[in-house]
Amino acid sequence: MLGGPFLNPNIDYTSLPMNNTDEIIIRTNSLSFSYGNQKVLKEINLRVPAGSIFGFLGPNGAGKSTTIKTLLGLLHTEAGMITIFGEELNSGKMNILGRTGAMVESPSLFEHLNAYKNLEYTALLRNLPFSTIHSLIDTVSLTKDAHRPVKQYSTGMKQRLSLAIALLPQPELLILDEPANGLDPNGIMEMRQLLTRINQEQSCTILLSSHILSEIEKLCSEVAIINNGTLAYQGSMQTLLGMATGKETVTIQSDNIEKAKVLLEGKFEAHLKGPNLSVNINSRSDAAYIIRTLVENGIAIYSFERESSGLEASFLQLLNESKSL
Amino acid sequence: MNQSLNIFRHIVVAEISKLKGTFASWLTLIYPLGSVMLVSIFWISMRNNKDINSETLVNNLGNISSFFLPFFIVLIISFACNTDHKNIMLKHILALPVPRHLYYFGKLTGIMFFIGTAFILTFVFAYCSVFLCGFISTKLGFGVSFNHGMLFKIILRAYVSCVAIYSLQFWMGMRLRNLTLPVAIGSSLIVLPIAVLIIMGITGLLRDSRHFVNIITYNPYSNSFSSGFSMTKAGDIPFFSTPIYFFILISVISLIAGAWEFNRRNI
Repeated sequence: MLGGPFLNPNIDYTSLPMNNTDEIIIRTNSLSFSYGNQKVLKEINLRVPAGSIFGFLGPNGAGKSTTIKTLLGLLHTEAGMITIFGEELNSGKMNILGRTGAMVESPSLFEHLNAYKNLEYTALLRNLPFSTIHSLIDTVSLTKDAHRPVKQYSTGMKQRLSLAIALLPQPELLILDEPANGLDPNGIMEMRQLLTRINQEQSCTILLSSHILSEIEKLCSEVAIINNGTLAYQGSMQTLLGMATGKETVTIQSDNIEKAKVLLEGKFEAHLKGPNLSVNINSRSDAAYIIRTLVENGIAIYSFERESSGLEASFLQLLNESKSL
Repeated sequence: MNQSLNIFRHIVVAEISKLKGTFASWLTLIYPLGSVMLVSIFWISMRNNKDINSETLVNNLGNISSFFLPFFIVLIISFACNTDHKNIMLKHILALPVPRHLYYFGKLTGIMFFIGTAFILTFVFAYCSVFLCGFISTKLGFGVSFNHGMLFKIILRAYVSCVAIYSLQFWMGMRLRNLTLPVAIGSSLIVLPIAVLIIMGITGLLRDSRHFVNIITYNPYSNSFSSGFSMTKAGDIPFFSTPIYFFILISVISLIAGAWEFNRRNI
């Protein structure tokens, strides 16, 4: 589908400019980790800017959860350094974790306890008052079910309760590993709105990993892509999407597909696919040009679909090409 | 220091509140009640025996409680540790601003609260039982010769003799991330001397019972009921003896080693 090399070997895609570089909240230097002989993280240099919603992408087994666990001190790093809020993790761990809320992999909840008791448990360990618990339960829309044992909750409800627990200390940094797992489309949308609100109202920096690329695209201002334990890309979402704009295919359904093909052939690579016309475009403005040309020539457009989102195309291409670099 | 103590106190309170309503907390009730009920049934059935007196009652209660105590400790600690494992809670707890070693000691202290409650309940149920049994036969009730101090000493000694089980079983429960293995290993260690006795008896190797008593006395998991096998009255066993000092040493070493290992562990 995509033609030509995507990555320029002369550019370091792991240190592209970011939207906000005033302050870096999370900084890792040559972070490495192994499970036995298997090297899971290879010299990761992550930079998470303050106030950003930072997307952390990668296929299964790429090292996303391992990176998050090392940031939280759950895994002991064998090489490299982690600095959060300007403090080295090993020396300032308690202070860092006190300002950080986290949700790692699947929700961690005591299933025999209800939502209140689960929140009270974390509040006790964090030495926080119980007064904010009610409002947090409201925030994640669990008021009606707050007195039921968690074992009766759906995966989505558990996910929301885990988020409430992560929000308990009003964190300056929120680290979320796959927060949209198990949520229905409505739940995903609510989660997105909630995270956006927290980011804006509390100036909370959010680092989240996800498989749902469309969510990352809608939510994140900065993004990093990890593959086989190595950072393949790090920079602003805008830059990443910009890299993808030249590499898309659009599929058109119209009342006169033959005429459409003739009109577009001179400028684009176009070919018939059954009743549809498939056209390779180089930029978003090409898409606008095609629609304009067809409409001006009296062709009715029934459908006009981009085969993949910009982020998806960039993501897949980065993964493929990072292996060969 | 004050901050560490404050965190420690919160961990203990959180552990107690978390375990409320779990099977681990029910065991706190089941063990003393079950032991006392078993002895009560025995007393009542023996009420017409001319040898029955308050000293027998105290010894019986001591022996039964001492026999079931290691099983109770193995179960309660394993279930309490498994509450964290089955809910995948360690990665959440250790991502909180809680020092790992404080969590390790705080959690054990929280569990010890339930074990201490069982200790107190044993007396509560024992006294209730003696009081009620007194209505059935005056020989079974509180007579002038009822030795309250001896009952306290026997039960307390049983709990002290389990000092190594607390820390060894806790380390095992925290290290092995399931319920089956710690319970299986702990239970096996408790019944191991009895199994050895049976095997030696069957094979004809058991010539001097003193050898067998040594096995049961120096095994930290079976010391509490060793008096029953040496045919010594529970009241005649000294409170502190060489094995107890040995178990205290094991306990301290395993506690420190467990906390050190927990501190270094990748979650």
